[in-house]
Amino acid sequence: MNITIIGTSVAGVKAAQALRAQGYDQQITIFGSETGPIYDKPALSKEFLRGEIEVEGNLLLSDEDVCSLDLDLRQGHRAVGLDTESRTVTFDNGETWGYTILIIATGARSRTPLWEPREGMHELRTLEDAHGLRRSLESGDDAVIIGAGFIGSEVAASLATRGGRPYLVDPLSLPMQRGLDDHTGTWYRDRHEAEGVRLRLNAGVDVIRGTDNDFEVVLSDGQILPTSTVVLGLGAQPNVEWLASSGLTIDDGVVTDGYCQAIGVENVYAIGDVARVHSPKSGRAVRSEHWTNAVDQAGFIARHITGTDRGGGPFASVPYVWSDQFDWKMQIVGDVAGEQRHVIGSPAQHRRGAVVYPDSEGRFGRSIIVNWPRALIMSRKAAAAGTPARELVAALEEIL
Amino acid sequence: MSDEEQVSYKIKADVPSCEGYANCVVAAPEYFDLDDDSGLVVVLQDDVSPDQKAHVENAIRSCPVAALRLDTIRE
Repeated sequence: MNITIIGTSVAGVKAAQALRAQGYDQQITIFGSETGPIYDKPALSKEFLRGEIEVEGNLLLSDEDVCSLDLDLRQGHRAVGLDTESRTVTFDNGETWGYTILIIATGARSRTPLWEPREGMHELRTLEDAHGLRRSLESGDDAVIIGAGFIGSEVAASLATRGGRPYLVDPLSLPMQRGLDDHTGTWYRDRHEAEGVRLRLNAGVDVIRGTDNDFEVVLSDGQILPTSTVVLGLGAQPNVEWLASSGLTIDDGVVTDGYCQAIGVENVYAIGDVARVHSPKSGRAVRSEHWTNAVDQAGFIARHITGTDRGGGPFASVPYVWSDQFDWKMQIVGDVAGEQRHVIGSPAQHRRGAVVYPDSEGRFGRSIIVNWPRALIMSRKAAAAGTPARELVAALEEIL
Repeated sequence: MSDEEQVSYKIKADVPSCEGYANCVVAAPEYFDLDDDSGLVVVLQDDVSPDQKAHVENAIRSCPVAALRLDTIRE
């Protein structure tokens, strides 16, 4: 009996830890494609990029943890194939490995850009990416960041905090428009502008000219932005290519049932950014690229595999996302948002604020919260209990 | 471990490391809360019995900044 985990990012590591916590005492083997320290990703666009911490302060799994949890860790192994008949995984070095239970946690990578890669052009996904970007910024914090999603906006905030005046470019009309709403997006647009970030919204990128830290980014409206560093924040795509001939159902991720089990095969689970897990509530399979989701799924399958879930039903978790920019801490609870919304406070005026959305039946659907711990706790409890949104709104107005 | 040995567990919180994500509160609300003003973790009870160990470890593991740990106490 061995449980084999493919991937050493948050989902894979937390699954190993959770299995041990649930009392699983047989072999756990973890394969990772990267070598070196096993690090966590959220800080790479923030504290690590600003030079406030180094990788030693950002470990997901230390050497001592590997020992104390008795994990068989094998780094520098990139999985290239899966055979669910013989229950084997093949690696890029030609090695083949047999599993009893397989946990696929290969995550996601930066979306392939349209532009040819060049010195001074950076993605930000891995520790290596973050080191490269930091080196590139040593000569100055000027940068053009393409894509104002969460990571792009965090990088812009980090550079502005260090005194830089980065450009932040996006075809949409507000930063983080896919993740926020227009109200909170406006809060963040105004804050970025006030901090010296040069927003270029409603703007596409036509071409990137130049090379070797000497670029001109040409926007669709004709503007030319000169810069030494380009950061690409274009989103992520799941690492599923190695599963192409496995027979697993692949559709924007590994499609699983409600228990994170790959459809149609036995003893194969998928969790984290790579997994598209069936949600009984919405009836759809959902792929989520967030840290807490990966941790929740890791804990869930550990209980499922060890039988300690006591028949607790399929995976269900209220989405929780956060982003730290400047001294604003944003936290988003839930993902059900209708037309109606309630705005309580504002971070610029009251130092804190929240926007609460009811679901279609008036229960809690979603909160977007800035700098307000009590609102966060109350929203997460309301989400778990299915509290009417108006009760939450009244309570928040009371304590604003 | 002998049968006579009593093992219990104690929660240790590194409060300055806490950034108020509240994952611990959601996972184990009977052990953790956030302070209203500071937004930082408050441990409501730090003694953990063996049958609650996995439950509390689940909460500790969910901390994005690793501000929590569970110490083993042997008496």
